[in-house]
Amino acid sequence: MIDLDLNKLTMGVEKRLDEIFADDLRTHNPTKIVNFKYIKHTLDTFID
Amino acid sequence: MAYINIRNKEIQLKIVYYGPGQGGKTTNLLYINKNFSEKIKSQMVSIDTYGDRTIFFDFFPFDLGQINGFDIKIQLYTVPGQSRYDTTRKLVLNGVDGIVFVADMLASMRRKNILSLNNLYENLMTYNKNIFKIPLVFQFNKVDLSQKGYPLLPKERLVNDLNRQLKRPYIIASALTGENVAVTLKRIISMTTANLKTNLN
Repeated sequence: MIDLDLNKLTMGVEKRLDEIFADDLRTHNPTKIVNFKYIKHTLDTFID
Repeated sequence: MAYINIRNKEIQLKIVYYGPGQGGKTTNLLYINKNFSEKIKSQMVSIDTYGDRTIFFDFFPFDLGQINGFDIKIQLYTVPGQSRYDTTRKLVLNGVDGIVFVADMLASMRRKNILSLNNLYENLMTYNKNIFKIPLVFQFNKVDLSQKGYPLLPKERLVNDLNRQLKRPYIIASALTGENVAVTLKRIISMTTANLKTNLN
């Protein structure tokens, strides 16, 4: 049996995706979407 | 089920974009392909299209490189949304690890969104997969159309129709402009990775 450290792996994957999508994530960060006039009604765009 | 090769230290995740026809599944992949294919050194492949409609599927594999000693490979697929291509949808779902359900925000698409989600539920059952357990993110697509005067479904109605019981993350997006396309993909890959089984033979 082999144990994968999933928390560490997930954090590593997220970090890599942040690097790849850096420009887009900066532009389209859900916390910033409220500033976009045309979808200001979608305040909680991203809900966990 | 994710392909995990311990000897080669390789993990392969299969993500499927599901949803009603012409809802924007292929447009999501096209946006990723157009804007990030150089960074991820990959190209999208469309298997058979008719006009702007997918009649088989789109396939977009890419490699995240070495992370914690494992080579992480991602495979993105779309399914054809039209009801008559159910056999293809079932085939594409074989071995799926995570799903992006691309719902169409157009008011006229309300029924088709619901039918498509029901279809996903049934098709997952054929592989003994439970929609309540598989990583799934909703993308409410085409928000850009509100600017053009098209009647859109309010977010509350979409949540009530599709996500009342599932209670999954949902993201309002425009695949056409790229709004939240990368956010959606990052979210599903992250959820799918976290869902890998901890103990592997």
